[in-house]
Amino acid sequence: MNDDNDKLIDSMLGDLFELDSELKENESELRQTVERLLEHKLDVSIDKKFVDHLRKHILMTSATGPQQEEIKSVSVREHLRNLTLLLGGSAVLAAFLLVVVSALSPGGLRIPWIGPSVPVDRVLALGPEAFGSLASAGGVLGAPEGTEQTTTGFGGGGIPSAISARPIGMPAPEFEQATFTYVGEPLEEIGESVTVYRRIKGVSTSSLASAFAKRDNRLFDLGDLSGLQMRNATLSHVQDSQEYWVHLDFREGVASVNMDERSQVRNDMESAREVTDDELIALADAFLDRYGIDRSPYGESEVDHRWRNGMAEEDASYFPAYIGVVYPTMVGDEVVVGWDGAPVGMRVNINAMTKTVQGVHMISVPRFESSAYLAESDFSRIVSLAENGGFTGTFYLSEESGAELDLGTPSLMYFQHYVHDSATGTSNELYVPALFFPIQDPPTELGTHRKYVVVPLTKELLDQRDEPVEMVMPDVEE
Amino acid sequence: MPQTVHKTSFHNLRIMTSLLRFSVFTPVKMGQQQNPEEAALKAKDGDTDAFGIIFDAYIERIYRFVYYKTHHKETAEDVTSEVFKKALSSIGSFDPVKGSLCGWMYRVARNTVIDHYRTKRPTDAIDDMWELMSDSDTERDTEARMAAEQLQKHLVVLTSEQRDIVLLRVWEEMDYKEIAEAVGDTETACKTDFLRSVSKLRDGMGFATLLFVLTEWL
Repeated sequence: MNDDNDKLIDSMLGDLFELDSELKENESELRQTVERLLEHKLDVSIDKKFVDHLRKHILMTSATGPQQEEIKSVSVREHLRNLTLLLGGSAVLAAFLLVVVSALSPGGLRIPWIGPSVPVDRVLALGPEAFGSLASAGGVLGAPEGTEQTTTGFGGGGIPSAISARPIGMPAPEFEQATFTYVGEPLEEIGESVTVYRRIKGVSTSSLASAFAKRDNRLFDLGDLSGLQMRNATLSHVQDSQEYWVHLDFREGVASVNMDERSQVRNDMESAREVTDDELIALADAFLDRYGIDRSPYGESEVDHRWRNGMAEEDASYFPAYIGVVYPTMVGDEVVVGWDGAPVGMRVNINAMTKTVQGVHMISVPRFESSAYLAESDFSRIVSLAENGGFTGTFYLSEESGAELDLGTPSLMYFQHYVHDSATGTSNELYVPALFFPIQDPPTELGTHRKYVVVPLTKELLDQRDEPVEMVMPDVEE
Repeated sequence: MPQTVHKTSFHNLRIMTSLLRFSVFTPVKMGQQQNPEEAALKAKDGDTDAFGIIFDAYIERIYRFVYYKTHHKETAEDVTSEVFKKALSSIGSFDPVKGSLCGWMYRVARNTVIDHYRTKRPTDAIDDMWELMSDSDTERDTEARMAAEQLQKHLVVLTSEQRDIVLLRVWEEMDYKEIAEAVGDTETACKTDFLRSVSKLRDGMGFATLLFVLTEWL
């Protein structure tokens, strides 16, 4: 070992001793370990020809515009973003250019199809159709954690798929479906492919623990257990005289925090009614900060008011005991939404009566994979599907026959879509681009509160939508 | 005559000043241009030449890091090419307020290597070649194989992130701030991980390794 190496090792060991002074007792062993690592350092030399060739290629690409060469399916938005950056960048300019491009497009509005630009350090770009089929095994609507194949009864709690099953036709319910008419702008220029994202699951203990920003103060070191291939863990923690359980699911790559409510004293509902959105968000923020749960990967939080759906403004007959504050999952600049257009992501549930946080759910590490999927390029088909109720079809039900509703110009949003992976017995959490057609002036008396008709842009999902629906019922022996 | 001399002197002085400007000021300016952090800001603003400065500053470091994780020259070259293409197309997302260019470049490289193995072997959760050491089908340079085998039995008990932290600290001599940015973790967490990693390596086939082997075996 030369002097330089000695200094380097001294510096490294110094760092270690700062963290744990007791390690000094093992200094010689530690020194040998680091020396051994240095001794076996891979000898790497780079080929000059490769460097020269790559440099020329990169700079040529840089001069002519990287996107043209590297990204097969280029979005208008990407062009605008790069152009904006080139010109010194401003959102106003981008919006202006979008309007100009839209106005200049023959036939109407041009949609930035591919969607968000995602920071490259959080997304792994995979090859085309890398997530396999997007179609759910048991129906058009994805459901979490493999329920698609294991629950096949009429709400009876589910029957394991191991029981022999045979397909039977399901009688259609006697419902009237509203008639939709598209009245929005004409659309065109659907690209050949769209980008679908998948949340990366199966994180390591240390990665999931990194969702807790104040990792240094954790109760014990999860990283030490990585070799055990721990699947999940539940910890108990007392905070402000309340006991909280921290549940870590490494297979699904999510964590949650739940309060043991046995010790809760319930107050009257009147105080719950007085709680404001700002208060709820402040409570949620404070709790997350106290736990060191990193809020930065999520979008702007908002209170979930969906419980008000179907209620008149002045109706005070019901107020929930628990109210959720949602911190939306972000894919680049885009908020991920559910089928109803409401943001999905990390959720903090608050007891509105006691004004305490009951739990935090879907704490995850914001890492995604992306893959290109064939897009539906026939806009007339998309409009036709929208006018027939969208991907979910008969979900929009009418109490009165012949309800006619208008659909406005759609927005592109990424919706959360679960697909069961029968090979692993888990579900894939995908974010699929779709057009959300706003229902204009939906009548409240229809008994449903959907604000959008949703049409995914991936061809495969639409093809699946067109196939006859068969429900699989277990062949129960009598 | 004295005036002429004077004029000549002034003339010479001008030439000297020009030379001085060229020889002293120009290198300072060039030095500023060669700062990759500043070049990154220019590249963000569309300065196409600026990316060349970034390339020159990082090509060898990134290639070395990629090679540490792939153990194969051609693979390392392919992945390194991909890293710089991604960096070029994403330089707009680099934010100097959030971290250094060095950390960002290594982060792109780290993700590109993972991407490479995940695309190549989509059914396996493989992050780098260290996890494929026992796989005889994989292409690997002989020298790298021999050197890596000396460490493999120890390094394989570390997580991919811990392994990167050790390699970046010991082989690349990076500071913890840069390492933290590269692996997307906090500085203190990286220090702690390094401490645990070195302790585990010191123990060799100690308790942690035994548990790992038992878990695999069971």
